[in-house]
Amino acid sequence: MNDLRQLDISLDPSADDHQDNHTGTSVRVSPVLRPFKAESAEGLRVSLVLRRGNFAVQAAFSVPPGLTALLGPSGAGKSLTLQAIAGLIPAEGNILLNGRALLDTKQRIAAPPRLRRVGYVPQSYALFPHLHVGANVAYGLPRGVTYAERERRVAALLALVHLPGHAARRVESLSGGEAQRVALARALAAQPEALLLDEPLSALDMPTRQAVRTELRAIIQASGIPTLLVTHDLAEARALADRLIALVGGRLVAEGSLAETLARPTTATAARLLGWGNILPVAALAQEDGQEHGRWRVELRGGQLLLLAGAAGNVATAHTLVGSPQSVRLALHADRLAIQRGESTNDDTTADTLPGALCGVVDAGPYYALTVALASEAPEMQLVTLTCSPREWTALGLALGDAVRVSVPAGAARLVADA
Amino acid sequence: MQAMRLRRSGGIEPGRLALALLALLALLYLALPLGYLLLAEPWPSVPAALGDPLAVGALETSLASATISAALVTLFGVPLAYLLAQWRPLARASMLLKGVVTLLIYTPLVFPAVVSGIVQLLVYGPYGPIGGFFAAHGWELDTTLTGVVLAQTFVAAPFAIVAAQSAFAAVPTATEAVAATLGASRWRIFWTVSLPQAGGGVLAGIILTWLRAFGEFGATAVLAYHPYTLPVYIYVQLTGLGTPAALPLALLALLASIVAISVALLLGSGLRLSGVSKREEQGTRP
Repeated sequence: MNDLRQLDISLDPSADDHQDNHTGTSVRVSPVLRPFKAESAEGLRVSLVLRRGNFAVQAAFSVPPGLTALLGPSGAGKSLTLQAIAGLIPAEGNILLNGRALLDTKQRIAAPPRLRRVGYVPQSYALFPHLHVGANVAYGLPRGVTYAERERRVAALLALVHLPGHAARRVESLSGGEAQRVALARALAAQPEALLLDEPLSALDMPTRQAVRTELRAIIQASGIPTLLVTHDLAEARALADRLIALVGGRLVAEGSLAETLARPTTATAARLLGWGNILPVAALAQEDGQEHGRWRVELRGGQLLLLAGAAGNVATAHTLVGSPQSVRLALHADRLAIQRGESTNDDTTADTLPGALCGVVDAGPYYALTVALASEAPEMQLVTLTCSPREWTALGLALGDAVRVSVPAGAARLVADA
Repeated sequence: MQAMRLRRSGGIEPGRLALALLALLALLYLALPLGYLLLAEPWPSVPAALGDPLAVGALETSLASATISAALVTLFGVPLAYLLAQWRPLARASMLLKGVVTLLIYTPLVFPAVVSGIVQLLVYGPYGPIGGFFAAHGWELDTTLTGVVLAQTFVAAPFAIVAAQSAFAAVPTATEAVAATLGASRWRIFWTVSLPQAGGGVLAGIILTWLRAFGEFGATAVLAYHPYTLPVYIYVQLTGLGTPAALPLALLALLASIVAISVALLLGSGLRLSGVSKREEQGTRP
């Protein structure tokens, strides 16, 4: 927590004077430094179109204070979007940062990167190799700051990223995790109003990644700066972000709070990206009770029947879904399905289970990934994957070929549009 | 003999040996004249050559003109190299334009030096549009140090520009992009991010340019035969008095080049160790 108090000193110059407890002198903060006030921050509002040859990104989203993850597969346009917000590549549309226009094509506004007050940490970190760590961090400090103040701020920023006293080190002597934190300190030194991080953890090895992940989240949350973090890794997005934006092929497929977005994909593409794992074709679809929130009766291609809670349906498009089941998919979340040993009886009327046979097991370390071939009336095989803990796996005592039942609890299934 | 020795030493690959032989021949070809000059020549004759006021004058002219040329190329050519490296055209028309500019920079390398001299003589000579103007105002470009510098700069400029351009192009664009987001202007990015990272390549280009200017003969002889530069004076002595008169001067030229390279390299390493990075680190002192 000590670190966070130092953060207040370096990042919250809302008071003009800072009392230095050690020397009793007060340091006057230059009025040129527009203080960042977390309470008045709206964050980023982005609506842009950018083209690269045949590829185009078209996306509108907002980045409020806190951590927003921009999730997408490689080639989705994530990094391009980030660079466009930083002003490093041309784009069309609108970008507002705390009410200030960074880009407004209609008004012919396109602020250059140096005036945007948007911190940018690229995937490579791009530390200046010819400068020491301290000089790297100091690069973003406003010019004209006194030597003593400069030293003090560099020290505070390095302490903030858990690298106190490392100012004299050479950049090439830093480990990946250290380089990442120096790059973050350098970005924070310029007192940005928003932060953009491009795959901040992808250059790190697994154990370092988990440690840095926790620290990164703590530092950014303490700073209160609206942060947009690009990642292709769902686990990373889940661990770091409060909000999630999903981008596929240059188009937004989901946006919202982390829990909401993960739980309620509306399309098969989004569901796949958000870790749902199983996307099954639907043969017939009906809504029981005829009510908006009534249960869904879903028949899969192989004749399997499932009754799902109303919430599993995409209410907004319910009627279109019913009309054309071929445009509907059933998404089943691999982590939320459960598995039991044994045949299902024909009088199993609860109909929240799918019978089948175990046909594959992979020991993925922290969990087991199981594949089940559903019992089917159709000739083609229908596979469902699900995960279970090593303890569950041992308790089940299953072997390949054994008859099993996959149960689908509420929240494990969702009807999505085939798009 | 070779083959027998090979078998005894226990298996050097024949292909590797063939390559080594070819490389050795190339090395020998390059080293032979220089080695012969260094071994066979009377070094004591060099001080005697320094007694010749014409030789000393030629050396002074060469040192001065090569240094001025290198300075001019640095001042104007390095920014050109930087802008060319930054210029990543997307449109077809600008790609074409960049190609034309690049070709223009390479022309002095493509031209025979004599031709470079002739085309400059047309412009800077007493009957040329620019040379005529200056001559009318009492400044004859083609018979002064100015002419020497013009000739040398034209021929030597591509070395610095090409080397600096590739050095700037090798600077990771992400570092320049980050500097911009940290509030740095183009000017500051050039001095504090791009140039320090490209410094080695830029310096190498400047050294090459200096050496090329110092050794330049063809264009200089055509545009500015007087005042004598060392290469022109060596040629004059060679044609007038033969090799015995020219060789001490050749040794002098060699010596001057080696001293110049050493000084440049020392300056460069000193600059990189203590210069730019320290200035950035110290910041603005109160």
